[in-house]
Amino acid sequence: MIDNLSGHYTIKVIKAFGYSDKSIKALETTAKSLKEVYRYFEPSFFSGKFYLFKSFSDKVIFDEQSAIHLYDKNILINKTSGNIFLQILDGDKMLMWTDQDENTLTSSDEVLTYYFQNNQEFYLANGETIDITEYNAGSRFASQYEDLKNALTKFGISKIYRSSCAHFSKSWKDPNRLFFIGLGSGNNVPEKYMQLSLYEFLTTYQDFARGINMESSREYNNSGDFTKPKPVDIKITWRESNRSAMIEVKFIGTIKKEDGEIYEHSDPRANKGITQLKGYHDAHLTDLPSTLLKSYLVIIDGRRNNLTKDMTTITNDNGMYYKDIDIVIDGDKEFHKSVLGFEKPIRFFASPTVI
Amino acid sequence: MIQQVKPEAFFDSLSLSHKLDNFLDGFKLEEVHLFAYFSSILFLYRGNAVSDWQYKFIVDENGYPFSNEINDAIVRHISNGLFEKVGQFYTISGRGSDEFNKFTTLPTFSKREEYLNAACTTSILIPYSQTQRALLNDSEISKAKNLQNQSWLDQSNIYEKFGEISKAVGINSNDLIIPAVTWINYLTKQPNQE
Repeated sequence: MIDNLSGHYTIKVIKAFGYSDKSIKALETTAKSLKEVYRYFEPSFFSGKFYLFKSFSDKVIFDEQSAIHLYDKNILINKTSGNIFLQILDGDKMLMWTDQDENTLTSSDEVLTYYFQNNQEFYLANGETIDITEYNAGSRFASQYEDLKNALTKFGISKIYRSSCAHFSKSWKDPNRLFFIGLGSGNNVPEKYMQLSLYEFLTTYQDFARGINMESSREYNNSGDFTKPKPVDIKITWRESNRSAMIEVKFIGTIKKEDGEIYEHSDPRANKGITQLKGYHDAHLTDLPSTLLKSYLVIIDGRRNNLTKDMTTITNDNGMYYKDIDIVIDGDKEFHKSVLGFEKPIRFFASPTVI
Repeated sequence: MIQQVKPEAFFDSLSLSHKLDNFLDGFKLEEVHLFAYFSSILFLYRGNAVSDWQYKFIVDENGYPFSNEINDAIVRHISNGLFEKVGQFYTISGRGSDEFNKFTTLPTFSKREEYLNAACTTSILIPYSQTQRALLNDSEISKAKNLQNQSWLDQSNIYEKFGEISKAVGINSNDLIIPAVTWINYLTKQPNQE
């Protein structure tokens, strides 16, 4: 137990500096500064090296004449490459350089340095490198997008897989969940329930709603001006950091209309959703170029194998056939590989009741 | 005439709200009680008498520590516009921040800042969900929840354990932040006590 507690990064950092009070103060200062800097700067967008450091004596480490006095942190918003060296001085003042010798920091016994590169983060403490990576992407000091991704994953597991959400369950035509409900051309009834389900989940899931504003296109769907283009399904804005997220919900699977006819939607519909979301993504960045943005396509997958319109039950093999079969994204729509902030579509399989 | 709110609870609730809002981007009212409770444990860890903290806690029906004095102060802050409700969370208003900055310079209150700051700083150094879960897994809170009683929380056992843990990992500094983080890590590794 004690070994376990001693292995925490905070203990390792101060131990490297002989448990000095100055190192503890530096640890607190750097953590609070990172929280602040990352309000303006999304580390998962950054491909360079980022150093943030505190000298115990408050001595300026590099040439002060060539430093930028960082008072308007908005200049960091569009920074996605190169190197950043940021020194925190007493009184929360910050000095920034772009190219300096990093060995000066790693070898110093009176400077605590935080270092971020390739979605991994470390403290450099008196010759020791202490890994503090907590998430797959971004930083432990700016978890907004990771929190959203975790919430979406939880939504898929807890609400969609077994249709456990009352709203989502209304999108099915039949009790065994073979067909989505259809009410005529252009009437995306299933998606409206899915969107409502996701919106309510995000509003209530743990503490996800802390510090965010969330808008949904439900208003538009219910009473909107249909001469105007449909807005994205869900838009999230973090109030205290310069971040936004857009979520578009699409379903694939088979709908059954009131006359009993069925229509199958598969990969092309998902690809259409990608194009649609890309349009929203580009328009948002044109309107608000100084906002950090990530866009997510959520695909609810209700595909069944060998489904015909008269079926009321389905075997396990056919019902669960698509459980692990991902959608095929067209080569010209793989924006998640080329466009910053455009995330890979997230697919949630919705299982049927099988016999 | 309306009674004055207890000064320590007035200041602590303002200070904790200011920090939680800054670190977490909003807070719930029960979190103000939770971090006031954690601050009081740090106060004991430093060797002070529990009565000098000036207010005590029971456990409420949701399993959170609850202080009447903190509650009175929160009600006052809301009615005076120092706290504002945004959705399910609260934020501290500009006037609330001004009030905090004014009172934090008074010696009676500035002494308490060390404990309040150390308690809240854990929420940056450790993922907040972990901090919250750990604090609610505190043995005294779990005991009170299981007994379903509303007697005062007995903090003396906790502070002794706290001291043992800090000593065992080699903390020999006067600073409170590392002991606070270590305590959270210790509670995290305890089996769920409910």
